[in-house]
Amino acid sequence: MEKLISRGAEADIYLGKWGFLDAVYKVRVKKPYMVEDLDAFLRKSRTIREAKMLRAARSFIPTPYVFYVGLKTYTIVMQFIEGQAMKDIIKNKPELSYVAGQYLAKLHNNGIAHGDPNTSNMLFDIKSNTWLMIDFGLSYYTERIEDYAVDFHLFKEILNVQHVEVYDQALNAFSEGYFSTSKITKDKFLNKVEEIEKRGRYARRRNFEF
Amino acid sequence: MIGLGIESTAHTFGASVVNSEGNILSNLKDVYKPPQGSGIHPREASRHHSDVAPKILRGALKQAKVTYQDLDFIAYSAGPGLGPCLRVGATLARFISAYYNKPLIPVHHGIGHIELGALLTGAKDPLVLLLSGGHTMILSAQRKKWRVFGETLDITLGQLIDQFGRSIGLASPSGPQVEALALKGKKFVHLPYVVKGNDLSFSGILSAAKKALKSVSVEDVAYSLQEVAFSMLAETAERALALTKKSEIMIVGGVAANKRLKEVFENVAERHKSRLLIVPPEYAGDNGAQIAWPGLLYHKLGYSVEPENATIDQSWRIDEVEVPWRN
Repeated sequence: MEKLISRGAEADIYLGKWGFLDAVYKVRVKKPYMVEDLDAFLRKSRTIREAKMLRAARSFIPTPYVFYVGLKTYTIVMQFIEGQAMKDIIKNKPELSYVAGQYLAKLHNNGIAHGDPNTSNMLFDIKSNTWLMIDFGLSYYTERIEDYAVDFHLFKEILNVQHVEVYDQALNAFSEGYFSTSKITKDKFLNKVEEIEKRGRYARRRNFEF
Repeated sequence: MIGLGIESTAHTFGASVVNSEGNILSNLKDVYKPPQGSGIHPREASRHHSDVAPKILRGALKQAKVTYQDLDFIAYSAGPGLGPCLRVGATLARFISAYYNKPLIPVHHGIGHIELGALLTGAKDPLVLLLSGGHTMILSAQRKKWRVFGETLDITLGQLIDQFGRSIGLASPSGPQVEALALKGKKFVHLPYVVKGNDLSFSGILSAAKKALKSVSVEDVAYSLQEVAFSMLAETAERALALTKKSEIMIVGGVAANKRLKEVFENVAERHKSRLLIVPPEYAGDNGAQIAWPGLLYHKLGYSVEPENATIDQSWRIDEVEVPWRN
């Protein structure tokens, strides 16, 4: 492990070598505020889950190669991707979210929910000229349409808060990409998304006419 | 410039007078207490509000040393909340506004928590955790709106704590008592930790906690419930901080008074090199100032509604609300 390149919500990302290859070390660090039991449980289960799902998803969409999984250090060593995250370029190219929609639908078609789809988890690899999807720590196998709809909603939510200036175009492209690939009918699925967005919260739209 | 704010969203009937220097000249309230072990009954709460309203309003004006004639505007909480309760405040506000010919301003209750928090803590452009009875949300301001980063997909954190409290026979709101019980807990029991992207789900914790009571002490369950729920919240906040790189985290709403929550977030703030700001406990719960202060911000920009349009909305969504002073 060499250089800390980013500090995320649950892991620190280091740049290093694996043999002669450039590699990323994703280390799930201890959270001092968390009860020891819970902390260890989450770090372990997510490390296992992410490594497993990165491999599983690879049959359907491009993901980085996993080189090594260290369960005692809660570390995944994987292929380093040289390129850019979607979140940094979507502002000028909102149509890019089409591919995020496609990838998500491919996962769903094969019984996998990503759990945390957003524009930071889509990386463009300059070498292979392809998009990769990363961050599978919250992903899981499921056959429930509801779980897929939550994924869809999460991506929407990110567009609304992170990319509000291109929200409409980006959402359209994402939706087009999704339904170009999805096996679920559009109306049925969007109803489910709406149902989730209304659940247990204040969801009616209204503005006071000032 | 001075104005009156009336809060009547749920348990609390409150009235407050503020001025344009950001001074809270008065802030009186009376809180409806439902019988032990039961939740708030909207009709009973609204009766309580009607009963205490004259005393609270008179008191708030008297303490601020003003009369209705002196006011520049009347603001009221227009939602979200319990219909019968909201109607008490809105009706009074319409009446006062029409009778004294003062501009009338509807305020979103959640925006009230946030903007009063910003006034009192000096937060400039914070990542906000809004943790009230009706909201569990992580927000940031962009383009004249408070935008939702993440939120609960089912019940709120406030509801989780309160409903757990009620299930063990505590009076609502039971937050402080659950917190006291949790302090005595030692043994951690696993409860469903459900984070979906930036969103959270607490309903599984509630059912599992109730079940755990059969085999584990109340103190241990209360402790575990807080630990799991606060950790989930901390994780989603960390996600939002990693993405936005905000230099301030502000916690507002009734749950903000919890000391363990503060400890957790001091740590989160330190990890991400941002400053933790928490609304002072006396302003954490619902109060009139949270309505009066945004009312003043709107009034400064010339916003008001006619009394016939001054309605309420029980499920008014926060990210639909225009906040013209936030860019």
